Amino acid sequence: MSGGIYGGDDVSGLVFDAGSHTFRVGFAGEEYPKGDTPSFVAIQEPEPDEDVEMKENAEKKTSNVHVKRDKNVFIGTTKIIVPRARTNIQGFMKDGMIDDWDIFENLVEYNYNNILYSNPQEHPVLFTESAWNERSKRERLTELMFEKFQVPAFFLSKNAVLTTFSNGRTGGLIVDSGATHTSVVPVHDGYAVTNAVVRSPLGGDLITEQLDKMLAEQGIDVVPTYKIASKEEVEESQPPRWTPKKNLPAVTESYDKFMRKQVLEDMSASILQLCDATIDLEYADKLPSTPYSLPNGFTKEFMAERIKVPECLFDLKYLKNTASTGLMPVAQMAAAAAGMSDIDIRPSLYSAVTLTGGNSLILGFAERLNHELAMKCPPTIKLRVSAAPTSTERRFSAWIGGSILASLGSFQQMWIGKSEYEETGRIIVDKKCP
Amino acid sequence: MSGWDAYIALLTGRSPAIKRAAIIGTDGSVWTRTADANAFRASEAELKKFAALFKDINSVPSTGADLEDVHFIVPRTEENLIFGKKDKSGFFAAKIKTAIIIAIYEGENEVTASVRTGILIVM
Repeated sequence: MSGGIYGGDDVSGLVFDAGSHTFRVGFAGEEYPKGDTPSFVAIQEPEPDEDVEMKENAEKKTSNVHVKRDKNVFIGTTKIIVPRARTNIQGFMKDGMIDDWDIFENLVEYNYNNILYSNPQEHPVLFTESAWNERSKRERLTELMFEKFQVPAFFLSKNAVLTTFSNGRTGGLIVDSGATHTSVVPVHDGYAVTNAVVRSPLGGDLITEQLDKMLAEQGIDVVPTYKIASKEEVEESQPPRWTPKKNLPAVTESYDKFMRKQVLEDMSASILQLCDATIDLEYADKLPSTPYSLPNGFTKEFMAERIKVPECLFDLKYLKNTASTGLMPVAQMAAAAAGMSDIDIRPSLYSAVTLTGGNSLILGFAERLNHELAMKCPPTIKLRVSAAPTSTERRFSAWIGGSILASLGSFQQMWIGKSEYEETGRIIVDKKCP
Repeated sequence: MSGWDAYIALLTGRSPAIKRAAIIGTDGSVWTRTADANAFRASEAELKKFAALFKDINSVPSTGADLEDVHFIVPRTEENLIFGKKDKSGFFAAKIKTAIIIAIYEGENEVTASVRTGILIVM
């Protein structure tokens, strides 16, 4: 049976929003997602010694007993930050699309069992995807959900379109600045104009890298929390005094990198700011300073660097030691995307520029974008940049839109039902999910 | 010619949202169209221009498409398929080897799925 039997109140749909930094899941109709898991899993390789022993025995006895122990997979913030030997931290998203399907499957299962406490067979599932998602990946996701998880109904929606819905609109220019990249997608009347999408790998991760380089230049050592046993209070800018933890397991490089990144992310969220207008060095010097203490006890008042680090989003000249090929400043991207769209819809795009994504929470982002776009647009066009005020709304805007969509009465006929999938196969996603 | 009319009937029967439809050749000539009150009103010249759009399908979203003197925004194109919208109405046009099937519908976004299946069946 196709979607007709699923009334909005009877069976609650589930909304899954997979991102490169976090994975949001929850029930349709609710205000916020129930789960916000990091999009990273810790995979622990089995003990190498055991394999060697087994192999020796096998050679002696010439029997085929070679039992390889399965890897251990740890999911969820509290589990992945525990230092373990031979454990690598891996993500599953690449370029805004699902890349590692095994890890993805593990995450979906984890969410069903530990966050939603639901049986996959009982709830229709709405998934989000990026506006440039490949056809083969969409079909593979459809197949995975119907075959492995046996969901009763499924739908795939573009996250830019869902963001417009969460703002109570049906169109606009969505500027999504996330962890791995920033993208601009024009949406008109509930449809994303996929041919006019502009994206650039400038995002939160790049900002943390730049911050890292800046700190290295100043000779500040970023020590991740797991290494620190205790620390003493020191004066500002004095060398830190801390004692390292004893008996730490031999952690992998990816784990160390991940933990350092956590510290840097916290730092960038606390101190970085963007200049309202094009950067003015005098203004930068007069900026009030913000103190920040690192996990090892080192404290410093940061001044002009606070503004210089995120400036690379809008002015590529501020990018340190990184090739700027293939990158575009945010305002230029927005103007390009609008320029590629039908001229009739351009005014409606400019009057509804919506800012979303975790990286857009940098102080001053909305004002700066407004200023830069005003400079680029013809003066006759009405320009309005809107950005959700709270951090939860910005990070979850696509999920919230999905929650709204999946609970609409008029949407219930649009689900791809299990029988439709069985009749047509996985290509049905291309037909029913624009 | 009457053979083609059967296809039109099939198309309009598939989805009540389809108001007008036509099958035209790739040169713009009309093979068949819905008649009388729901007459497909596009002119020859307009259809010629429309057929030419399929040659460079990726640029269509930036310019939109015209049918029956109405300008449609094209949010989406796929291989040999143009989907245009204007407020409450829109059209699907699919190109097969020697012809183009056009269906103009009226209604909200939800009906587009059935219109699209209709076109695919006729194809």
